[in-house]
Amino acid sequence: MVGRQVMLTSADTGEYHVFGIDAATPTVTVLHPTASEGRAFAAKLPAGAPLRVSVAVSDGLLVAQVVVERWSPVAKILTVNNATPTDLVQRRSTFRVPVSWPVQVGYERGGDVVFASGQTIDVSEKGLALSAKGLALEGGELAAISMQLRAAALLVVARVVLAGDGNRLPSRFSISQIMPADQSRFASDLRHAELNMVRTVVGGRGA
Amino acid sequence: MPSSTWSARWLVVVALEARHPASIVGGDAPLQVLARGTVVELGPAVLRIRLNDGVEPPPSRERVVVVVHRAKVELVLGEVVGDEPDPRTVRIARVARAE
Repeated sequence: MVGRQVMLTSADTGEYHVFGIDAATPTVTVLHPTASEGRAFAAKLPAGAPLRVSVAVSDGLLVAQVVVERWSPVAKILTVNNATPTDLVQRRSTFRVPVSWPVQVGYERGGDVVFASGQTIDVSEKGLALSAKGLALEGGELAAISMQLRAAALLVVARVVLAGDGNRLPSRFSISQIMPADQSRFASDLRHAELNMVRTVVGGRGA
Repeated sequence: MPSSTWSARWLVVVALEARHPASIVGGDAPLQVLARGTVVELGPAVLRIRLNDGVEPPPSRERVVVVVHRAKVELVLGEVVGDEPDPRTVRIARVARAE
């Protein structure tokens, strides 16, 4: 997990920020905030404060409870004790591929259709996570989503599973309508993106 | 008579009476409202949208999402399969729902 980005959420206030993992042992994890807001959040955490760690992995969402050991303001690192073992929740039936495809979202507001542009964070054959500035959807709503694939855009209708905040917290969707003729093209592009990741890793190791 | 046929007819009747406003969304980049009109048929396989005055229909074979503006907003993915000249109406073959 070293090098991965995780979401730290205060169990007391619900405030959350993104941190990177610098080091991890079975009992202790060392993290650094990725933004100034995260540093301010970490600086006010008292020792013993309970936090929830969550990270999206290929086959689900990994969560764990931790408690603050100390914040080191000079080194800008947060040390936490692992209070519980990690637990895999939201187990998935399809593999999530971490790809960044340009995406546009259209949804109804006040009798009109409004649009937001952003990027996918991960995509599977059944759903996707995306980040789009100003996107204001609620759980259960339907949206038209256009994803820019290799050859052409793919248009689907998707339902909001987890509403983001229109800023850093991504929105998660399950695809509810897709043209049958587009399904094979979509699966092919996902497979291509997945293979590219494998080639990158293998190439990186060989260099 | 099979219940699905009853259901389809009921949907058509409701749409014809209500004439719900509809926006046709599509376009590769950017995604945009291609046309606006009112729903004249909302069946299980086909939608027909009467376009507002002066609005040109989207091209045939274009993938579109029809946003039906009623109390419960409905989004329907489909493909433009043709249009009728007078009054200007576009026919959209809708996709079967995955959920």
